[in-house]
Amino acid sequence: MSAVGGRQQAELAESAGWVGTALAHELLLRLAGRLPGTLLWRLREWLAAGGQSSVAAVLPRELLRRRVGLTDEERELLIGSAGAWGAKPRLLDAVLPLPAPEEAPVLFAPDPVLDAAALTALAIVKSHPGTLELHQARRGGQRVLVVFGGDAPWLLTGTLQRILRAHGDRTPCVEVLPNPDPPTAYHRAAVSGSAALWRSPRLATAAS
Amino acid sequence: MDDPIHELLLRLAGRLDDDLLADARELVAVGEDGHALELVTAALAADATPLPPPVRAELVNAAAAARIDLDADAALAPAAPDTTAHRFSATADADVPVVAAVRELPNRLREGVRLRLTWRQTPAGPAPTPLPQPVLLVETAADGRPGEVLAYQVGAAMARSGVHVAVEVLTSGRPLTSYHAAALRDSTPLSGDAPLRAASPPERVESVVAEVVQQVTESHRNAPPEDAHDERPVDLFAVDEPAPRPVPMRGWQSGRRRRGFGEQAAEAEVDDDLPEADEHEPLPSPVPLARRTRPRPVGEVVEQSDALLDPIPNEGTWTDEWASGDWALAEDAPPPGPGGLTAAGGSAPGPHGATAAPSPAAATRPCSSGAASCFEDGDYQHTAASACALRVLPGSGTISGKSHRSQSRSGHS
Repeated sequence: MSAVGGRQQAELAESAGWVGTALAHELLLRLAGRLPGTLLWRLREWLAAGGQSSVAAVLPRELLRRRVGLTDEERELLIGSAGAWGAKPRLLDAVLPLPAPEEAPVLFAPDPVLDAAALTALAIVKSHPGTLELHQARRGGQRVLVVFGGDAPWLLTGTLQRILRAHGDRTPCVEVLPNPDPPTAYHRAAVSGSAALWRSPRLATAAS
Repeated sequence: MDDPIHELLLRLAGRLDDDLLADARELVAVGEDGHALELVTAALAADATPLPPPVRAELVNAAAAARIDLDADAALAPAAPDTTAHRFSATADADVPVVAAVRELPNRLREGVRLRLTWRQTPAGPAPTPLPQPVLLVETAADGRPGEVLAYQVGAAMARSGVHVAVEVLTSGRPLTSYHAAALRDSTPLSGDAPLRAASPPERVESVVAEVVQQVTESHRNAPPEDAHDERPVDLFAVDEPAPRPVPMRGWQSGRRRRGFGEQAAEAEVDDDLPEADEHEPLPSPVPLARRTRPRPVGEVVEQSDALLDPIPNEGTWTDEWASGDWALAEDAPPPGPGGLTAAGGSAPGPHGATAAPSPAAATRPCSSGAASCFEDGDYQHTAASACALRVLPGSGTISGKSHRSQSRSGHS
């Protein structure tokens, strides 16, 4: 194999890896409110740390243990990520089918308070490439951060989770939405029930 | 005999975040060993946490036996020597709520165990919670409740009180990891608990403990005759002065002062049936280990308090005591009689630096034939069984009497 061919192969592999990671991030976004927060933050942490094999080993089994069903679209996300990383097809096939997205009612309350954790998160979000907005809400007493935009959103998610953990939040809830449209009813409720802590100047420029 | 997965989780303490360890112990307690191993292995693999070869091999074997989906051998980072040294302190500003929560523990959980509290100053895992992290050390007898069950129950009870504390259940007679040895050294006894129902005699201690006992015994065949009869049960919570750095095992350390956890409470209720041979002088300093590390003016009288028996301490007490410099009392206390807990040379350790240089007298005193000093003597290589081992206590009236009583009680239980 030539050097050029090897480089192309490496780029292809890297590209494929990122695609899988992006699919997994999207799937973990859609599972917000459906998997326990104690598990979800950990799966996102592993994804941010590059532990694809860990996600592939744990996520399908947790879906089965907890009888969490997936829509066809979500199942494609699972196969494109965990399936590509070595999850057993038998387990992937066993995940319950879901005819339509589950939309359990969740209540969020806006939280405009910029405490130390929020300030630290704000500094990180502002410095991360591609970010557009940062919102903060409370689901019960649980802080929920919602970020719009951001390159490599799984990495930003992991960083923000660690920040919140260091400030005492044992089950951090960080939703980094790479697209402007919230993917689920959970996120729509979170955004509508949140307080905006920051908006990128690019948004104002684009609006004008 | 504890669950082998529980033993493995003990060896992983300090390498994973405490929440995951608690979750894993809960799963083991309810029989979900495979699930526990799946989460633990996945977390270690994702974080690329290097493990000492024996621990890694043990985890790989356990994961394979549990048939988890993750190929542990391929996913885990390559084995590497242990380079992480956790630091602990015996006290912290948040002592009061933790002690209060311990006092609220159901009696059923406090029966037959001994408790110590320490505060870890170093992070564990890639996403740690705020520091210092409280760690509750629970010693249980070898025939006591399963460690994983006790860890789960105590942790859940503490969480119900609003206190998230890492619970490490250590079994008498079992080897200690360097993590737990360091935690024990800088810990405060919470001795408002019952004495252990039973302790493992040294001849029954397995693996590393027995091996180290034999090694030390052979290296000190010329032990003084007065120590020849000191074959005491292994006391897991008999800790010595703080020693932040492990040092190579040396015979001189075996004669140092040792003190079992909860001795003060045991002294207060010494039974008449204790053998005469155990009538040693009381401890020269009733100050808990942690407090002995604090500055204290020479000659000032110290009142020993039990955090679980006394009213909830005022946080200012520690500050005052620290400022008073009263920690030095032990150095001026009268030397104990033969076989007392204080080492030859009679000086209790000072603050942390005191461990660097042993007293000459102690250095010349070998340990007895039945007394092995390995707990803090520094052979901290993480072997398959553990990083270090326990000691067999040298002569101590308090501990001995307690042990006799414990054994007699265990005979009826």
